[in-house]
Amino acid sequence: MNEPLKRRNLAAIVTPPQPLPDDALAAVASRNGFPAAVPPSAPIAPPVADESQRRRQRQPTGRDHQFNVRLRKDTLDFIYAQANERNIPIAQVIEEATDALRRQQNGR
Amino acid sequence: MSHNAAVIAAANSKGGCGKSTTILILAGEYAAQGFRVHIIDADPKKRLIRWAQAGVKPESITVSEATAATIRDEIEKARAAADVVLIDVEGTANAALTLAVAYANLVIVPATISPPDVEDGLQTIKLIQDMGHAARRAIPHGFLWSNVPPAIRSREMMNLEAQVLEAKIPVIARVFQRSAFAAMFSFATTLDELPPLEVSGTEKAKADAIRLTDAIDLMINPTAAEPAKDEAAA
Repeated sequence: MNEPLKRRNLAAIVTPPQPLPDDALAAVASRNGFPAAVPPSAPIAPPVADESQRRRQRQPTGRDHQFNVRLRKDTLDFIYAQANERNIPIAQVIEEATDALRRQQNGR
Repeated sequence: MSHNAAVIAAANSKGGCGKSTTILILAGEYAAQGFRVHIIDADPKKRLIRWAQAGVKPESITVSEATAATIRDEIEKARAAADVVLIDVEGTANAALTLAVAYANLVIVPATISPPDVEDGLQTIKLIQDMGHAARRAIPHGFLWSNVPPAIRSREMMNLEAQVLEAKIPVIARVFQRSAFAAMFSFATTLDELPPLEVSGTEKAKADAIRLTDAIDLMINPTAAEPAKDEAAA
C-alpha cells in the first residue's frame, strides 16, 4: 500500500471550511426543503442580564419573615457596607450581629 | 498549527441507504492507513455509538454523538483532535444534515438501487450544491451505490445510473452487498478485525474499502494521482 501517497492526498486540505453565517445557512436549507439549522450551541445569555447584576440572586434560605425598621443612617451604612464588602445578604449581616450579641450576653 | 482534518459526511435524507455502513467502512480503512479517525454520530438511533460501546474497535477510532444543537462544537473539537472526521446523520431532512454539509470537505450520498433513495439523494445533492454556491467553495460530493448485488446488473440499476449520469452527479464508488459489511455491526468492529473463520469474503470487502478511500482521496485532492511536486523541495 502506498501509504505516503495516501497521507499526502488527505493533507491537501489546507483550510478548514468556514460555514456560512446562520441566516445564509437557514436560507440555503429552507430553499432546498430542509429545516433551518438551529443557532450555534453558544451559552444562552440570561434574559435580563442588567437586572440580575443589580439584584441579588434568590436562593432558599429559610428567611421568610419580613422586618421593616427605621434606623439611623450610620447604622444603615454599616449594615450595607458589611453586606457589600463581603458579598453577603443583608439578612446575614443582621443574623451575624444577632449571634454576636447573643454570644456577648451569654459570656456575661 | 498546520493540522487540518478531512471532514467527510455521509448524507441522504432517506433512511436505510447505507450511511452508517459507509462510515464504518471508511473509519476502519482510514484507521488501517494510520489516520486518527473520529466519528460523529448525529443519528438519534445512535447505531455507531452502540457499535463503539459494544465492540473491539481500534484505539485510533473514537466516536461521539451529536444533535443539531451540538454538532458544530463536536465538529470543531473533532477537527482539532483527529485526521479524519466522519459524520453520520439521520436519514431525514434535518438540521444536523445541513450543518454537516456546511462543515464538510466532502459529502458522500449513499443510495441503494432504489428510486426513493435516488430521489431523496438528488434532493440532498441539491442542498450540497446550493451550499457550495452560497459559500463560494467547492464541496466535492457524489453518489455512492451501496448494498449493490454483486452478481447481476439489473435493468433497475441501469435506469437509476442513467438518471444520475443525466443529472451530471459523480458516482464515487460501488459498495457491494457483502456479509462482511453487515458483520462489522454484528461483531462491532472493523473489517480488519473481523474473525476470518466466522466471516467470509472479508478480502473482497477490504478491496472495496480501499477502492472507496482511494476514490475519496482523489476527490479531495484531484492532483494526488500525480507525483507530488513539492516533495523534492520539502
